[in-house]
Amino acid sequence: MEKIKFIIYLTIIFFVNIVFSQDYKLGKVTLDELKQDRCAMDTSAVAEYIFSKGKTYIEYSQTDGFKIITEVENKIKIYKKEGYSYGNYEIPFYIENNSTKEQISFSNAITYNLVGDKIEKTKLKSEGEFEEQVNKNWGIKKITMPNVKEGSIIEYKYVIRSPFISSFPIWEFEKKIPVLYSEYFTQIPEYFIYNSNIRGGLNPIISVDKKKRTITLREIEHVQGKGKYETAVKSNFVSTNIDFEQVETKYILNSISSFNDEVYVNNIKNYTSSISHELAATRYPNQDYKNYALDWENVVETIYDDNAFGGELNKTNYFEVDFEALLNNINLDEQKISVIYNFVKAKMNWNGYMGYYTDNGVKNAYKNNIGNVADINLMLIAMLRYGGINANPILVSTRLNGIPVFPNRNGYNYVIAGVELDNKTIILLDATNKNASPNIIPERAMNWFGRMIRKDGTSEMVDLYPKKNSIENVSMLAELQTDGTIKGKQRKQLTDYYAFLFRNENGNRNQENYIEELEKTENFSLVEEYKLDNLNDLTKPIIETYSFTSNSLVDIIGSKMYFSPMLFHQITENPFKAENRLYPVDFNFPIKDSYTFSIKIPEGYVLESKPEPINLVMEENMGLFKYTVAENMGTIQFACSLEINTPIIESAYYQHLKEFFNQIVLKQNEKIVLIKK
Amino acid sequence: MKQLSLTFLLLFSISTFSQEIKYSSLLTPKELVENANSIIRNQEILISVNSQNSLTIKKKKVVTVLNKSGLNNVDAKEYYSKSEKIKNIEAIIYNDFGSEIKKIKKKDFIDQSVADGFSVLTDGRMLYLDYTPTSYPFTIVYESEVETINTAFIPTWYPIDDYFESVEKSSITVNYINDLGFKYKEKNFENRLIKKSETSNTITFSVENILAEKPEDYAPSADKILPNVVFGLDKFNLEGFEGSAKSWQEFGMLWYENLVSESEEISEETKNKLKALVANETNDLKKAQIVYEFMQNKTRYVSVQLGIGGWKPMLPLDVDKLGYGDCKALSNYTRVLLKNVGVNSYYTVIYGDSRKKDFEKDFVSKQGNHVILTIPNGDKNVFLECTNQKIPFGFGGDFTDDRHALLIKPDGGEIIKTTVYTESDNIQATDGSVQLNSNGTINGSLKIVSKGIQYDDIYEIEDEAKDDIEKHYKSSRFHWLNNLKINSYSFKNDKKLIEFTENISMNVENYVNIVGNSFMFPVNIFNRKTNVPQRYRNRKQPFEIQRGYTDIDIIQINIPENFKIEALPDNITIENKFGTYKFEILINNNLINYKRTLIIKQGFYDKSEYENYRQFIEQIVKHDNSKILFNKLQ
Repeated sequence: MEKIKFIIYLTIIFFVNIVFSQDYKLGKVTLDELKQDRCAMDTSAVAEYIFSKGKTYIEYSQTDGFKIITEVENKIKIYKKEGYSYGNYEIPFYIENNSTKEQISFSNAITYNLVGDKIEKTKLKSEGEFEEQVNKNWGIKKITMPNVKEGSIIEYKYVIRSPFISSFPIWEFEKKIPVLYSEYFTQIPEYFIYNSNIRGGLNPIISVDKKKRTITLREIEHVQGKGKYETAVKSNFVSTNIDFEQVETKYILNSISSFNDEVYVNNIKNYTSSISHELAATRYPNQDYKNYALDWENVVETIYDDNAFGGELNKTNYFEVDFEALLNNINLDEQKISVIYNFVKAKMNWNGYMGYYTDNGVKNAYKNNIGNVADINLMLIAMLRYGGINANPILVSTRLNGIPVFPNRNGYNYVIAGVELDNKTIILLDATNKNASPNIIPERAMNWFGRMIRKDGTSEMVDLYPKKNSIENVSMLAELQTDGTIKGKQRKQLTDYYAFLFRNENGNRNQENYIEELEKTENFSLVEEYKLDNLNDLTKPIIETYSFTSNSLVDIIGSKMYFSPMLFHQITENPFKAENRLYPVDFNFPIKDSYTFSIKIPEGYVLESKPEPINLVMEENMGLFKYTVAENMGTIQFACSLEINTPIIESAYYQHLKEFFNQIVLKQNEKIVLIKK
Repeated sequence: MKQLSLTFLLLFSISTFSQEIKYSSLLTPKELVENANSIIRNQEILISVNSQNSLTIKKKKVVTVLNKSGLNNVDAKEYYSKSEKIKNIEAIIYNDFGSEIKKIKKKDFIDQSVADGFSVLTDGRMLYLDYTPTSYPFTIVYESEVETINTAFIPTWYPIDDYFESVEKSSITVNYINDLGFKYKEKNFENRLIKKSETSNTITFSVENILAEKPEDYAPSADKILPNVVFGLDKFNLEGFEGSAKSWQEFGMLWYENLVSESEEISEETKNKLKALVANETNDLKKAQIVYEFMQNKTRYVSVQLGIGGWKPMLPLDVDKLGYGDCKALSNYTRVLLKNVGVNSYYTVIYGDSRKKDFEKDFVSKQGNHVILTIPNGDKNVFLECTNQKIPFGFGGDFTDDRHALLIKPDGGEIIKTTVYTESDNIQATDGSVQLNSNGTINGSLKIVSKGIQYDDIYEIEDEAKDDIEKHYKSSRFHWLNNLKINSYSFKNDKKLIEFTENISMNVENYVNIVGNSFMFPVNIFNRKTNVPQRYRNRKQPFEIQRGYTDIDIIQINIPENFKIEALPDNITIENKFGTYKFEILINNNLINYKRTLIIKQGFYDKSEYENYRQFIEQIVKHDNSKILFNKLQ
């Protein structure tokens, strides 16, 4: 960022909130607060934030340029020993180099305790403050508050001074413990335009104010002495007053409950209540308006124009020689895509780094067979294009990165390839995983929407969630014996994501170990004739066959035998145990599981009863469950299938989904009854 | 203290590695490939004790990595700090055919702080190799040289240090100067072909052609079954402190004088408080309990690992002022507090781990990774865990039970053994009554009392958030009960008796499987074994049950008037060397009395016993799933 030679003297006028201003200041601990022995909102809370207040503003200094400064004040009440961890606090900070880094300072750090009827104050001294350099780019500043006990109140303030104007902090309203009052205040001069976004299910009270400011620009004018002997330099201070406007926004939330984790969640950060800001533009006095990113089109343009992206996409000379040999005699587009994709996947090895900008450049990556995500996938795109295929980069935000809240460059952190066919369908390709295949991209990239950038600079949203159901097809021939033992032969077929995950997990697993683990997890007494097909042929489904013996599947009570026709395939527990749910259930990909079993009834027994068939359909066809049992000539014919057609199910449907699974669990655990003739 | 437990094995090499060995993975002997993710082709470690203040560790390790899982076995990393310097570290990668494909120099290794996950601050750092293989298999030749002043630790040699890794050749040589009292101890050498050669100032151990092993459930810890050699010096240096000790007595005295006794000052305020607290108390143990609880309320556990700070406790006065410290600081502080009220206690060094780890009691050297406090009390010493603010007085739970430890007494060290908790100490007794309704729902109330190590497993639930407590019951304790609703719960933590009581009231919808008019009722509702231990085609390792326990469940089940019992599981008693299992049902009109007893004994068994044990558990799992069949009368 260009530095501007002026000093802004900001007259700080505190935004006074009439209702709350009295209560939310540090250093005002009362006896009542110290005596309180449980959190009123949630009696099981280990601690609570009495308040958490933050303020972010922008400052200029002649030596350092603009800095973004965040002041945070926390007042925390500790109720239980489990809450002692709130007596330690740490803040990571970014280090670009020795002179450009974030700086953190703590102050007003005091522990208050009740001793008899008196308030005892213990201040944090330097021995409780630590700084650690984690690696080249990251450090951590930590404090350890003294004398923390059950009932203590802890207060501290910290200030983060950051030279990185584009990384505005994220304010999190929701925390793991209740927050009685959360306030965030931003003061942004008109020179900066930030987009803000509030995420999560809570609605803070927002008040916006615009304040006129007068600043004095003081410029030093260096005047060279004139004339033959006058060589001295004279400095003149030139002062100019400039009026500017500052937008002041305050966000307030009261009585915020603690946040809980649940099953089948994509990234919890997507759902916790927070506010974030992204630098969209700057318009410094007497300078042009400089756009950083205002919409996704701008973001895309900025990324595309960068040499580490667009520039790398246009390089071809490094692969041209290999390319001719590779595509010799191949003319069909479909074949070309497959050959190029498999070539890059086989040749390149992902070094574990994300990013949409290349690291060492495609040329180097190609030479060394190693690269980051951009090295590998941009190379793939370049080769496809060279072969005449309409391939484009698709920018992606990984699951860990979360769902981007507004258009900005940090919203994405990954890139894959998309091949646009004549019928406008798009094939997704990611060559960073050896087991990936067309439209089967690693889970990390399977998040929300990506943005495809065409050669002409236009871009388009692309849904990254798979549309096609991944299939698990289990068929079985089993024979039940009079002692309750079941012997059977099972064949399991896995397609798409099921196969992808299986390959990732079991790709180089020792077979004997695998069988022993299978015996353990399924409670088999023996597994034999194990065979696994197509582990390395990604164009075909995984096919696993084995024979098993199990004596844990049948209950013999008196003259009767009881067993579930699901045998060892039933869902025994409803994964959705929580009463309510605030955020969507994420199944990752649509599925279709089906089971077709033929189970022979032992000599001397006949079928007494069997479960009724069922056909369950969730609304909008989100889920389907079918189950039928029939008997024919002493053999039980059983079929069951479960489909989840919508990988992401909104929380509004949670009760429905929970009940759907409840019905499945009940049905799958119903028994067939055989009786002795 | 953790950073110095040095469980990571320091390994290295000598320069005699000759050119004629080709680093081609194609030349690997076939039997070494079996079950292996990686093969140590040749590892040479050379340790030179240069003086009491200088130790050099050189490694050369040639590893063929066969697949991605084998990458973790390379261990190309070294630690450093103010007292330990990495003088050389480099690696060369060879492809399948043995030609060099990449050279990695020191500057290409990644520099990282050793974040141990619990220390507030540590000054330990490491350099590690971050290499992305371009193909498998490949061979890496890793070389390093580290020099340290800490001669108190000579790395233990584990020729087998990873599962799924075979060893073609591996050796260690220690060169030492004679007047420092060099010593070593071999462990688990039985049935292993380990060569040893010795001269007046050098010793070498070597092995060849060891096949890859795989991990097995219930296997004892590596130090109990894998061959290893520990080394030590009578005269050593520890972060600048020079010591000399031939016996535990001497060693303990040195430790006391140099690391523990420096200052016993605490504030007048605390002294006065203590005086007031124990004023009317004459019994030493009761006084100690009061002081211990005072300390628990005043402090919290925070770990700081800096230089000698990794060894020497913070001053008691500082703990007094700040209200926190690590295991050393808090134990020593408590010792000083106790001294102030006239109760004698000893700083005690131990291995803290829920997996029991013992002191090498006939090998005088710096050992342990944790500190507790011991109050001498006739033949039943009282042990205080000072880093836990909630644990009862005199109870260390499974973190420090049943193992040897070193008392640091003013007149010298002494090895003692901590409390053993047997199957008759570790009890969980469940009393419950359940109403079965004719719609298949059950309502129940339970009282569960836990003692001994079973107390340790549960008592912390007391202060958890409501959601987490419910989650514990629904997803872990009673995970087989679908549709479990917890109506209420309450806890009683009796720290005196060391007894934890849970009172739970619940209901479970659709508990019973209804088939037409028949009701299948699994009679064991609340305490099921659900997992059978893994079956091994060819078990290699002995097996160990680290702690015994007893579970007794007595449940009264009320059944509806119109239910008729059609079939009942048989009562059963199984007794063997591993323990006892009893399953009893007594019918009394509409009342079913169910009693289950399970006793598992502590034991260390030969591998041949494993299958018997597995079958024992399989039987239990089966009987725990027994059902009563009711018919509903119309």
